[in-house]
Amino acid sequence: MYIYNEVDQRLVDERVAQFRDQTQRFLAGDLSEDEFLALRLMNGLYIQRQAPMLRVAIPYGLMTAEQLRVLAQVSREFDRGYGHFTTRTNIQFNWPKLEEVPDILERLATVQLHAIQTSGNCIRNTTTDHFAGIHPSETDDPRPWCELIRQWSTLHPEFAYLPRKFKIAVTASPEDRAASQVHDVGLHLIRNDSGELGFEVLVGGGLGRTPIIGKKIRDFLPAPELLSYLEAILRIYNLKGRRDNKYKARIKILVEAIGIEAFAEQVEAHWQTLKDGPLRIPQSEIDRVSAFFSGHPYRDNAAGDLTLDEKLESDTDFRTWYARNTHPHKQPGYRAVTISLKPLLGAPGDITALQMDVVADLAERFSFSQIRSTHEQNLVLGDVAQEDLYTVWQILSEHNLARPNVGLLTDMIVCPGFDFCSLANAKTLNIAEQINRTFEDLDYQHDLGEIRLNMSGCINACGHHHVGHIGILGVDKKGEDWYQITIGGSSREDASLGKVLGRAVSALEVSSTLERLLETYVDLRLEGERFIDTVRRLGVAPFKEAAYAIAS
Amino acid sequence: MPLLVNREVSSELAQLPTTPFGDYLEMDAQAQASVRAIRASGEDSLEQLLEHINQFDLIALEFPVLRDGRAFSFARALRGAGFKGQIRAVGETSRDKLSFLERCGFDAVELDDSQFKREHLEAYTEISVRYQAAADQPLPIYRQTGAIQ
Repeated sequence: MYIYNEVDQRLVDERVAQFRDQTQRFLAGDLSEDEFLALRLMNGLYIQRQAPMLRVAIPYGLMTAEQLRVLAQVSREFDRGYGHFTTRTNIQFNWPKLEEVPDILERLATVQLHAIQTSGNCIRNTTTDHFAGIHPSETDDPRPWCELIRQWSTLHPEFAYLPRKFKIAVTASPEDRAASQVHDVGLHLIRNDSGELGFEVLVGGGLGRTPIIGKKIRDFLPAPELLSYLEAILRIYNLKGRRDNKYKARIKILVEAIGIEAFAEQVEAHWQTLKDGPLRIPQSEIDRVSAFFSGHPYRDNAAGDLTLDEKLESDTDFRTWYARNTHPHKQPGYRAVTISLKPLLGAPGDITALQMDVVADLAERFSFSQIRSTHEQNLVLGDVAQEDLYTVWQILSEHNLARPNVGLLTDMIVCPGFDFCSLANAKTLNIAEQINRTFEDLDYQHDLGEIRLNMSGCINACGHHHVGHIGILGVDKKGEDWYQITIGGSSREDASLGKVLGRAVSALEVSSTLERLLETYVDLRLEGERFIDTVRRLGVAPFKEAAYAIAS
Repeated sequence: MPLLVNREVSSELAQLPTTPFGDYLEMDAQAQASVRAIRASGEDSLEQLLEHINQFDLIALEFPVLRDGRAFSFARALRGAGFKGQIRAVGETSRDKLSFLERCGFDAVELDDSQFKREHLEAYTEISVRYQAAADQPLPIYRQTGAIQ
């Protein structure tokens, strides 16, 4: 993993001092509310319904055990003993005191963590595949490129006041585990016919009020020109993106308005003035950054272990967890382990300080001291030897971190909703709990198979509801919470936007509607057919009919 | 209205008469020849502005509201095209934008009187690291000598 050098550390330390000064000037009345708003947002600080909320960056979702322990400490000392992982793979603290935020940032900086650009109209944390560097199918490791983007985008002087926020995702596999097609820019690391690395570049994807799948702007961008090309895209966006209406300010609206061909022409013309210039990344730098992500000292004989098979044979619960929550690894004898942050009772993505410490210990003992956060709001231990899986599972189970529901109905992506967020129109956490209780039976969940359920408490779509196989959107109707259901969405390589099932349902009817929906699926599915595939084959109609059959 | 030029409070008149670039484009060639300073905003065409840069000693770029960052890209494009005259930030400028303004090629900034204090000049030195190539640093971090171990 990338380790800061003196320069990287200096930037973060200086940013802490700068933010401390900004906070002091604001508290002293020397900085207006409006000016401080823009400055604090660029440093991840919101003022929310209950209290300020601080969002800490986990660059491309990779952190060390040491960093996670400091996050645990921060949550204990400055917050209420827990944190919340987000779809940008960052972590949020919901109860810090405004005047203590500089101290929190100073503590974070001791372990190379910060909150730079986790909010505001600037380039946000770059995300990637949570199996980056370990998945058997990947072209090459995307993380060195994420790190290069991180440095280029950090305090970029030209792009701190963009029309709106800007999100980049990088993938390197045929499978898309980073929702790259619904990002402002999606980058797919590929090789051309000559074996050279480069990127297929998508632009103008996004969710929110106007969900759009990204469009291809370039088939193959030579990898060393990544930053010159991004700079060209960002400059055109900064110059031409709409600023009169914040709901029409994302790059997707610009691309739709002028068309992908015209947008591509402008970017290309501008890029001609930048390519082969200083922004071209020298091979020496690519090698330097890549070296930080070179493989771990794996055990040669890991695959020779016989104990895993014995445990799988003898322990049904372990077998269920293994099948659901562990994943293939390119190194023989190793698996990736998803730590489910989706317990029966508890907000999706939340983690207590004790759990953070437990995960940090496990990473240290069994996974080269590294942890990944996923955009699906779970954690991953990327490199666990098969002989250690049973122990890891036992410890995770003790701490309510081993619910075998990864990829199933209750592995929901859920924004914090009205309980915390001042933008939200409706609550989400109560609905998540209702769904958890209704579908508590894990055998039934396993029978239903792979289902991605995403829920947002407002149209801003932080919970990615448009791209859930089942999407739930909270809306406010005359002061009451109602929920609009969509089906057929996907954020994967087969990205699609969900279609509205019908009229919104009341808070009490959400899970009963889902029950009818899923019973219909069970009736109609072909052998082995996933929910999403049944919806794609048959369309919305049969589901709509069933969902509203009793209610109407 | 204090005017900062190259990080110093300038004795120059802050309100130098500047012709709106739109008006300049309407003028005949003879009238254009006498204009040495213009004022442009994000609504003007950057392409057209670039065609005329040799004509000007001063280009004032307007920040109409706090959150409008188009002028940052204008300034970088002007410097990128070789403009050597003064680029002045006018409108909704602020202490906390000073460093980014300079990095993008602004060498002069008009600041609101009521807001300005001499210690605001510290804004220029708060962050010393330059990851990006920009107007103040032609090389990105990975090409800067001594920056990388």
